[in-house]
Amino acid sequence: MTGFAKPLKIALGLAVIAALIVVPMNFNRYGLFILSQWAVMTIAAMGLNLTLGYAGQVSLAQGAFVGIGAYAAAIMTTHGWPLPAAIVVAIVLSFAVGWVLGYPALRVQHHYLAFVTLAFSTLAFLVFRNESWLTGGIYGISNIPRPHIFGIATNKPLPFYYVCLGSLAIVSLAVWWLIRSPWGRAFIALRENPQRAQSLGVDTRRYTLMAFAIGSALGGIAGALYAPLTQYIDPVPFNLSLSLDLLMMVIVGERRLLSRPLPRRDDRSAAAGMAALHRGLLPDALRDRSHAAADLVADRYPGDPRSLHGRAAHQGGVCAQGRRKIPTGDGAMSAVLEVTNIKKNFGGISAVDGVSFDVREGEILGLIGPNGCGKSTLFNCILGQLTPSSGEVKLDGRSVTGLRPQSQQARGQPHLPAPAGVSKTLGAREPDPCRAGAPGQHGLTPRRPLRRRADGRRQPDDRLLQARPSRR
Amino acid sequence: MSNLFDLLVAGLATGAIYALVAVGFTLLWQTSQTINFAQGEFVMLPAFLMLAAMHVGAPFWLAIILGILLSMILLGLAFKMLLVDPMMRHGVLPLAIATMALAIGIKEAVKQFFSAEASPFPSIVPTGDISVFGHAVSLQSIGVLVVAILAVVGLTALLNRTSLGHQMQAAAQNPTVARIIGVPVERMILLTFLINAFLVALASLLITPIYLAKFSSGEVLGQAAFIAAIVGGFNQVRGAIAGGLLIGVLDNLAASYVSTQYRSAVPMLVLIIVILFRPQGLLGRAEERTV
Repeated sequence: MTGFAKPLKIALGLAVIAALIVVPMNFNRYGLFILSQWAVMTIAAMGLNLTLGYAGQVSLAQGAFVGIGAYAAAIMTTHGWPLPAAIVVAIVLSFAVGWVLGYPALRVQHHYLAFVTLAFSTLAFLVFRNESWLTGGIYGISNIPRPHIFGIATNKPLPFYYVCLGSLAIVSLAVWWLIRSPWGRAFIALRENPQRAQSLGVDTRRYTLMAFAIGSALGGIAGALYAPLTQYIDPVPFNLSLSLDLLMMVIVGERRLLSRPLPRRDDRSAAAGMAALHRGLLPDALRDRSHAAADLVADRYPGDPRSLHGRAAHQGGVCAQGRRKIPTGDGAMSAVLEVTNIKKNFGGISAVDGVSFDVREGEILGLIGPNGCGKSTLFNCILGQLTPSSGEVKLDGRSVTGLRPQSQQARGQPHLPAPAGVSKTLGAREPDPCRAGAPGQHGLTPRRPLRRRADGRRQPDDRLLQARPSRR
Repeated sequence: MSNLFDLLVAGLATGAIYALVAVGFTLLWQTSQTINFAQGEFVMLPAFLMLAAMHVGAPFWLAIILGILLSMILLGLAFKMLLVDPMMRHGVLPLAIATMALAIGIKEAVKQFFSAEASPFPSIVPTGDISVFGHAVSLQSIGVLVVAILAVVGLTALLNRTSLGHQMQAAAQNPTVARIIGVPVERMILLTFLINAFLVALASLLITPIYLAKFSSGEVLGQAAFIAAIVGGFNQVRGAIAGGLLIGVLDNLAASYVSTQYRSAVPMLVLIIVILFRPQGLLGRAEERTV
């Protein structure tokens, strides 16, 4: 990937920017129109890339958001409002609609979301076409004015091209900043390993919605520029095929600067192959990214209920339990974590059957068992990744059973890092967004999720973190 | 009331065609995780193949047979060998995108080599009306219903009554185990592609006399079948049938009772509601793959 040295890359980038500014000066009307359109559609594609590449949601509605932005701008500017105001309205409107449309993403699997967005796309088209009191119907809206920027009229193609190019630059910088901000790291963490992200305190629901809504808002910006660019809009350009085109742009441009979409989460063998590659070819310094692929696979699919092992282990009554339950009330140290009679059934198969133990201050407790006997399932129940079928988990005497992982993190339950895993989309040199120092310092969330505990400490439970093995 | 009856019959007839297309769609999904976005174009193309055969002088019946055979070769065999197999390795989404590209390709090819105009298409059922319970019902609707029902009954019998059908179900439900017990999984997958091609050719034969042969007619059909499959249950043949009938009837009722402008919005709303509240479909079962 890094074919060029960095200075050369920067020089190349500057040359491209200079060319984009200088070369079109000699272009005719049509050439400028095409270039302006490129700038506008790139904004929309960058938005879709956020949705697809960072929230992992396939959206077939980006064209509809471009339409929403375009109609907002067209209606407002023809009624005498300035374009910047229209852009703001377009952003707010498409962000809000995107947020609402994102809700299905939380409920259904990813390809179903594609269907929902497809339906939305068609509905939006129908509204554009049929609500002629607002949108002009099939006749559309014509004579959309172009703005005056700093007193300069942009009616001619060249000045307006610069408006589009400038907007593209601003949006690119904003997206670049976003990807590098804690927000962006949270998005990447979400894409790479939602479970780990969750146990690090990232509210996966909120971030999925956020990525979806921000992506939609960029579509809105593109639309708000598209309207004055063409100076005439009707419903046809915003039908499903625009959404499909944008989707293809993002997928074809997969390996570009800000875009590494398509998390192929289900591609286990690729992960394994990649791990082999990492191990064989990379210097030791980079090794830490390539922990055993086997662990990755095992941990991605914790407690697979269909696993024969799980059943066998259960029938043999070996359900993982490292040591006998220590009688409570033996005084000296209080239990920090109490796990009581946890059961987890998947359909008819019971993966964890009545496990109880507690962990006291300063203690390290090992959980040992054969493959598939339910260790990870138990951990996931404790951490809230799974809701136990019955039983109780108490942290500091307060029940945290079934709380979502990020709320548990907020209460001081330290995260359980799954094996580092092998990223299929990040380069080997890129920082792993999930790599945490001490909990609370991972910088994944814009607002630190740690709340003040009852005893006034802000850190997660350091009694567990500073634990030493106990010999009893 | 008579209006309602007419609408229901017409809706059922369109719905039956949607069902045929949707069944093929679910078959492909179950056996090979192919989301075929070109399914609508698959319905559009056979009519043109039949028209082409008639242009070179074949009688109608021969044109039908040739059209169905050609569809099975092109849309079954070639589709699987040349597009699905090479793309499958890259995952479900790239394959779905490739079928979108195929849809555009088929559409443009028909426009280029045949005509952008709508061409009339002869009907296999004589036109005219007969009287049912005192209502005039078009023979065409009845014919469409009968053929579609026969096709579905035949398919269900094949899947549930024959050893071949059982092998197909096994291949869909658990390819690994099916392979272990000796089911030729690859051949079963190919067979579903051929069945799909046959179903779309049949649907083409039934629907083209009503809506004319036009290069763009696949868009609406594909979308309707798509929605029907999801609404009914992506993983069930009977779900696809129920979904198809439901969408057909709703579409027709919406056109006259809601508004013609928003008729296509109604199936979309149904789709969104079903996905939100019953994502496995009305008749589907969650997390299960069966034929």
